[in-house]
Amino acid sequence: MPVIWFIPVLALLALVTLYPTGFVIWMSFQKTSYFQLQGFVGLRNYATILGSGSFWEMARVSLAYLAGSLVLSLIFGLAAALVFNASGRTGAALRVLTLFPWTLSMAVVGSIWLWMLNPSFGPIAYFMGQAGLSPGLMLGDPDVALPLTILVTAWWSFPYVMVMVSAAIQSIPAELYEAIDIDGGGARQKFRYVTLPHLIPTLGSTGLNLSIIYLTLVTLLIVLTGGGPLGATTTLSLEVFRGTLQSVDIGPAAVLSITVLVINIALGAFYTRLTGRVTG
Amino acid sequence: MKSQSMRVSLAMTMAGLIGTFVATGATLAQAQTEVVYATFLDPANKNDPRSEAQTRIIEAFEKANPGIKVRVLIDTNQQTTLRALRTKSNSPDAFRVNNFNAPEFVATGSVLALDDLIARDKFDMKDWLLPLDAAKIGGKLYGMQQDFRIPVLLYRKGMLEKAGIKPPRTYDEVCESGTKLSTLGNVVGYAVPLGTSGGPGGAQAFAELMFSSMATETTGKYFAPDGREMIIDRDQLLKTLQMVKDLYGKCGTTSKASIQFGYNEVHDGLRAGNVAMSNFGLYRFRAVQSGGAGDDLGWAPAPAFKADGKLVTYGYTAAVNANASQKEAAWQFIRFLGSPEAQAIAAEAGEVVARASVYETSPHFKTPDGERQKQWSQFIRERGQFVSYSVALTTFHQVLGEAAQRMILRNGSAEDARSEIEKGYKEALAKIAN
Repeated sequence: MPVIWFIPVLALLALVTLYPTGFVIWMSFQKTSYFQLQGFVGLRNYATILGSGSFWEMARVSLAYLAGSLVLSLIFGLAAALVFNASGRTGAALRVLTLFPWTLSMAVVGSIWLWMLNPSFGPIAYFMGQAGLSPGLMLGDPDVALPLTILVTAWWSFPYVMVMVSAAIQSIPAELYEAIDIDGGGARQKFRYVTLPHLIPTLGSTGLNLSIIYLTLVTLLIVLTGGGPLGATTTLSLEVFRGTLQSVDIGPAAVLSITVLVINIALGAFYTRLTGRVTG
Repeated sequence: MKSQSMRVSLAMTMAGLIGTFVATGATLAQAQTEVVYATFLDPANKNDPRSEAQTRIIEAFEKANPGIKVRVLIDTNQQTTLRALRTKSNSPDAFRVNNFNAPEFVATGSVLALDDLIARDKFDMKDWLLPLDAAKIGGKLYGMQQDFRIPVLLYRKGMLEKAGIKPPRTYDEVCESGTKLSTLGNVVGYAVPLGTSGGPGGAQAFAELMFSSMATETTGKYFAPDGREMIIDRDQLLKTLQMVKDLYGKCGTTSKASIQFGYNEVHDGLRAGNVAMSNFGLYRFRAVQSGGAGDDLGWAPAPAFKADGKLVTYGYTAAVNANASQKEAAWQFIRFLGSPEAQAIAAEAGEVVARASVYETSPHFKTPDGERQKQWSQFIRERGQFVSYSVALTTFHQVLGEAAQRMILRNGSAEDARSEIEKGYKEALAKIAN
């Protein structure tokens, strides 16, 4: 019976993934006192959460944060990979240096940028002042905080895209580029008809990984803005963190957690469909 | 025959040795009780004299109680301990918690009331800087007071001199200093940290260093003794919020950059000279001074609405986990932390310790640092008052921070901010009651 060989890994999967997920789903139908279940409440937690305006605002912020960070990371990462790949040894050295932000912990990244973007004594405010520009409140401005947070997130995560795309570029057969040369095509055609088609699956899977990270990311937001100002950077996951930490009844936080899970599953389905991994 | 006898002897010797090892191990296991103590002070942090003092206190305790070992669990923001209490975990056995977070901890039902143990051991409860009755929660004492803190005004002497002002004693004087402070250029004259940044604690720095004192100055009423209803006098709340709005607005004392300040930003600002003055905890004085401000850093009583108005005092306590497996040993440990011997060591590290007699007996208070601590202790005696805190204080700080930020950023009225605070806290409380 070959299935017997899968039992250890299935048991491990059930223990570390299925059980916690199942418990959170079960908890979302419960009233709790901290982590102790107090009784089944049916769909009450779902009705409370989905009926509140703040949920939809947090969902909007979460998706804007995800989309903004993802687009910038993919663009920066792709550009860096293409440039460094065409730059020989210098490119290889620069690739290593560029990887640096990704190796930092998010708490450190947050602290660095919190200082850089401090409107009172941060270096960016200083240089803007020297250039005759007003830095404004930066992370303290509800209209600017989310775009700045997206920029910081992209700065931290684009090296990951760069590494994945670089690996994919190096696996493209040189003959394909030679064929374009023979046909009289230029760099544009090489990118359009060889590089890009080969990179799309990589960009898709990298994008999916990053989307899951962005949707569940909490540390960077806590350090940078704490979800403020005026809730401008409060994402669903940050609220899950707060709700679990600060509330007595964490059933509603479980509902938010399930929402994040559903969005992630939907994104996974979308990306696999996009990259043709399901249909082959 | 000889070899058989030797084998028997050898076997008996081995059995004896094994027996001795087992017996010794069992005795040691019985004698050594381990107390897990959760604290934000990292014993490996050589830059913080309080960490070194903590190590010395633990060593002194273990010497006096050879059967008990203390293992330190580092919990920088008390959240690990809070989660442990919520899940009814039996570890840590003992932990540090400050007075303003204590009701939230006690509400978990996992903090041991100390009154019976204090009575049983006839522990001296009179020798304190301030009477501890006011620090009780629901009529019971849950923590052994370690130290006292009170907001003070930290300021850069050179800047105030340049602006031609003296440390303000009242908020009206802070407001009047606005025009003069504006001559300092790109400097926050008087930081009011509304804490947009700084984590999920909301405007904790604002609440701790300013709001709690301003809102309770005349009545001493903050939250009901059971930690639920907000009982701040409504007129005083309005007056407080209006003053905050004025400091940011018509007084010109506080630039909007201060909106996102939390503890760290005020600390850095005072240290680097980007903030001329702000209310801060006296426990930060030495760190700001050694971090760059040097002798240019001065302190004065924090401003109040009246020159001699009361200010909220609080401090750290040591408490016992009601579900701890080593409750008695944990009690012995925190009892020691409250003893004059341990408190004298803590005083040497710069704490304004809670034991009154230590200020008379410890030679440390003859040193310049000690004399300043003694002045602070006197200041706490004269101006300090305890208030009761909420069981949902973290959420309250969040509600308070958002309301105050909205008032400044969206030019809202103090009345609207008051309504937002009252409504937001009521909703938070309702969630707890459900």
